[in-house]
Parts: sequence; structure tokens; C-alpha cells
Amino acid sequence: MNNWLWGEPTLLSVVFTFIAIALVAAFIPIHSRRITAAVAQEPALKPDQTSKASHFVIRTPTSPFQTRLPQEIIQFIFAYIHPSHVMRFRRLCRQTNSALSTRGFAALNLSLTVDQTLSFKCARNNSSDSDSDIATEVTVRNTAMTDFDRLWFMWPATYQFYYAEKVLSKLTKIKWEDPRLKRMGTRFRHSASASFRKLPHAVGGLTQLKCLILTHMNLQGGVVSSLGNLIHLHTLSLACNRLSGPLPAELLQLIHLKVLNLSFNQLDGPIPRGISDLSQLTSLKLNDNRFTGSIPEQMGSLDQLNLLDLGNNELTGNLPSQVGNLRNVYYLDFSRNLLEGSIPCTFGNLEHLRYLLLHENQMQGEIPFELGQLEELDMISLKGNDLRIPQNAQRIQSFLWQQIRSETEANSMSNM
Amino acid sequence: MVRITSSDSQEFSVSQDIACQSQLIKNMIEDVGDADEQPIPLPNVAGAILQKGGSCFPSISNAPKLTLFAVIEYATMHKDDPPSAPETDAKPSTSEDIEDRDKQFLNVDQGTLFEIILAANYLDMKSLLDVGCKTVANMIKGKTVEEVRALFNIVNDFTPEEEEQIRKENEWCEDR
Repeated sequence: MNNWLWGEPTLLSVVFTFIAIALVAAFIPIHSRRITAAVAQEPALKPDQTSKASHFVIRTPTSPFQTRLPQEIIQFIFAYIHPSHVMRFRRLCRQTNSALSTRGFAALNLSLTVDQTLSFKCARNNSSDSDSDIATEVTVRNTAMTDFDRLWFMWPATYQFYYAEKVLSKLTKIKWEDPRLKRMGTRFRHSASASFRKLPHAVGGLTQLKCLILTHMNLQGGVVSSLGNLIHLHTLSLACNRLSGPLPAELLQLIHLKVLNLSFNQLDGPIPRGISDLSQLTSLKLNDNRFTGSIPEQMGSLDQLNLLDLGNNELTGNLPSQVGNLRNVYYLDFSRNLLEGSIPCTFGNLEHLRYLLLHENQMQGEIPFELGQLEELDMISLKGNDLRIPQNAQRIQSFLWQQIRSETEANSMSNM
Repeated sequence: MVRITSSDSQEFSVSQDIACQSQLIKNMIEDVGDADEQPIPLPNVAGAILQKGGSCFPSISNAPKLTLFAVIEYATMHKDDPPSAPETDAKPSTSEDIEDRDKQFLNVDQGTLFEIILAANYLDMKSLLDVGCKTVANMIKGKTVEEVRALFNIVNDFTPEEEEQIRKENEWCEDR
């Protein structure tokens, strides 16, 4: 009987369609009102029915989200909600919790939101008439942290892996920091107001990276072992965060590393002997952590090192004489540890040494005469130890020996 | 012309380009060949309740049922749309990107809206499913969990411990 209406488009059928739509539009409000009225009556009935039986009314779910909508439709609806907060709707009910927790949802949600941002950028590039805009865009993508990048550290793992694969995996350099946290300085980095972030395991997917710098990011948790996949890395800095736990052995697979900076964290455990595998290192900063154990002798084979900072840890034992093999080193900091024994005379071989910081340890004995012969040594700090000037250097009036004398005298003053 | 019948045995005759906006019907026609002979049954889609004037005296149980009529109306409205672009160069589309005529079409009560979404899903009409889901997403946007529960009559079926666990995992996004 509908054939005439849906048949060949005639003037009559157009008119009738219009009337039908008008009827629909006119009656919907009435119908909604009726439903509202019916719902409103419901609670009024309940107390009568249940007042004496129980205080608990187990409501049978009637929402389409809990009854009729298949998971993929729930996912399709929520995929349009911004990934900065869509996860909060896991809490609606069991159905939304399971729909929003899948890997597929993460991919759908991000592809509908993040990829839009990227294609928006492309569109802007195409419409711009100068090349400089494109150049800027590329640099921005390489260095500045976007809002999505910021979310990467907080998302569930499903999001982190998808985002790493689709958005970050082509990058060769990442240098991100939180300017707000940086302004607060390292002293306030434990502030509770800063949001919780962790280093995603998904970072291991960014295998093109040559440089990874994530400083002042308030990262918590461990240094993830997947970093060991980033075999092209020559610079890795996770300085000024709240990372804890030991160094994963996988870190020693990064044999092309030239710069490793993990300073100002809460890392503990020993400095691994295998550190000598990182033979290209020119700069190694593990200072201001909670590393324990002794300084491995193997460190002496890192002969490319210019800078070695192990200050402010809980390192014990003697300074290994092999440190004297670091012929290119100009900065050595072992200060504020629990080191014992004397300064090895091999330090006299460090002909490029300009800074030697050994203050606040438990070192004893005679300072090797050879140290005073180092021509480039500008600054030496020995306070807070029990070190003595050798007999044959007592009267040498060189700038360096004067400095050493004042360091040791101040020490004996403070000991009294 | 293609003949289709709804779950309540109402028969519609629709031109092929309109009917084939449903991937399901399109596939059926391709499988069967000439569809003129046999009407295509759509056992999951209710018929033209709204169109029939049934909405003049809606009963609670029937009222929210979707009409195949409404879906056909949508398909008729969009029959001259260019075929959707391949995924790769799809233009940006957020949930705010809804054509005015679609907005008007979906300006219905919640029950009807979900029926349309379910029918679009069953009939495999991507664009209608899309605008339907976008419309619901827009209703959710900017609301708290509690507000969304109230809006869609969602019963919190977690134990307090379970809910607390999720809340903890979502600490980073709860008060954004």
C-alpha cells in the first residue's frame, strides 16, 4: 500500500512526503512528553511497593547503552569524544567500561581525533604560500610538545602504543620538557600538584630516534626496558624527573650512545659493570640519584668520556684506579657520596682535567703529588674528607696547591 | 524499483539508488540478481509506525520503534550525494560536522534516535550511522559521568570497589 508513495517521483508523492514529515515533526513532542510523564510516575510508585521489603531497589537497566547497543556502536559514539577525557566514561557502566578498554577503541578514538589534527596541519601547509611555514611545521613536529604528546604519558597503554606507531614513530628527535615544571626548578619537582606521568613502554616503538630528551616532565615509575630497542640513539636524557628503580640491563644495548643523562631522579641499585659496553659515551651523568655499590672499574675503559658526574649518590668503596685511564675527561664529579680510601695516583694521567669534585665523602690519606702537576686543573673541591697534602708539596706556591691547601684546611677546621 | 518488507510485514517500494545506500540491501540485490521479483525482508527493522499516523496515539511500547520510513526518508534526502571519499583523503570530520538537514532529521526523541542508529547499523548505512553516533556524542560532550548516566538512564552496575578502581586509573582525566 506504500507503493504509490515511494513510486515514481510525482508532484503528489512529494506533497505527501512533506505532509508525512510535518506530521512526524508535529507528534514527536507529544510523544516525548508522554514518555517523560511515564518516567516521572515511576519513582512515585516505588516507595509503596518496596517500603517494607528493603531499602535496596535493584533497578533493571533500561538504557540502550546497557541493553541494546552492540559494543561497536558504543565505541563509535564515544570515539568522537576527545581523548583527553573520554576514558572517564569507562565509569558509566560495565558495557562502556569494556567497550572503551579495547585496543580497537583506542585506535578508533585516536584516528578520529588526532589524525584530524595532523591533516589539518597539512591543509594549512598547502594553503600557505611561503615555504617557511612548512619548515616551521616540521620543526614544531620534531621538537615542541603538542597537547596530544602530553597526553601520551598519561593514556592507557592501548593509546600509547597506537599513538607511538601512528604519530611518533617517524621522529628522529624528541626534545620535550614541561616549561612550568622547569620554572619550578629541581627543588620543587616533587610537587604533588603536578600530574602523574610515566615513561610509556611504547617508547620502544620509536626506533628511528637518534635523540630522546624528556626533562622536567615529572615522569614517575621505572626506566622502561623497551628503551633498549632504540638502537640508533646517540643522546638519551631523562634528567630532572622522578624516575625510580634500578637501571634496566637493556639500556646497555644502546651502544651508539654518546650522551647519557639520568641525573636528578630517584634511581637506585648499582651502576652496572656492563656500562663499559657504551664505549662511545662522551658524557655520562648519573648524579643526584640513589645509586649504591661501588664505582665499577670497567668505567675506566670509557676512554671517549669528557664528562663524568656521579655526584650525590650513595656510592661506597674506593675510587678505582682505572678512572685514571679516562684521558679525555675534563670534568669529574664524585662528590657527596660515601667513598672511602685515597685519591688514586693514576689521576695524575688526566691531563685534560679541569674540574675535580670529591667533596663530602669519607676519603682519607695523602693527596697524590701528581695531581698538583695537572696543568689544566682549574677547580678542585676536597672539603668534607680527611685528606692530607704530601710533604714534598707543602711549600709549593702554585695556584693549584694553594687551592688544595685551602680545601684541606677548611676541612680540618670543620672537623674540629 | 526494489521491494523491501519491514519486521511488521509492511512493504515498501523504493528506487534502487535509494535502497542501495544500504550496503546490506545492495549486497542482497547483487546476490539475488534482479530484485523486482521477491521483496527483500528486513526482519530487524520495524515499519512505518510514525508515517502511518501511529504517532497520533503512540503506545509506550511502540513509540520508540524506528520506522523503515524514517531511514528511507534519510536515504531519499541523500540520494544525490557524491560517493563517500576513500578513507585516505577523508575530509576532517568532528562530531560538530553535521549537515543542517541531518541535524533536523535527527532532532527526535532519544528512543527514536537509538532505533535509527541500530537500523543504520543493521542496514549498513555508514553515513547515517555516522551522523547518529555523532549526535549522541554531542549529547555526551561536556557532561560529567553522573550527568550522562542521568541523561541516558544508565544504571551504575559497578560495585563501589570496582568503580573506585576505575576512578583511580583515570585520575589523570577525571577532573579535566
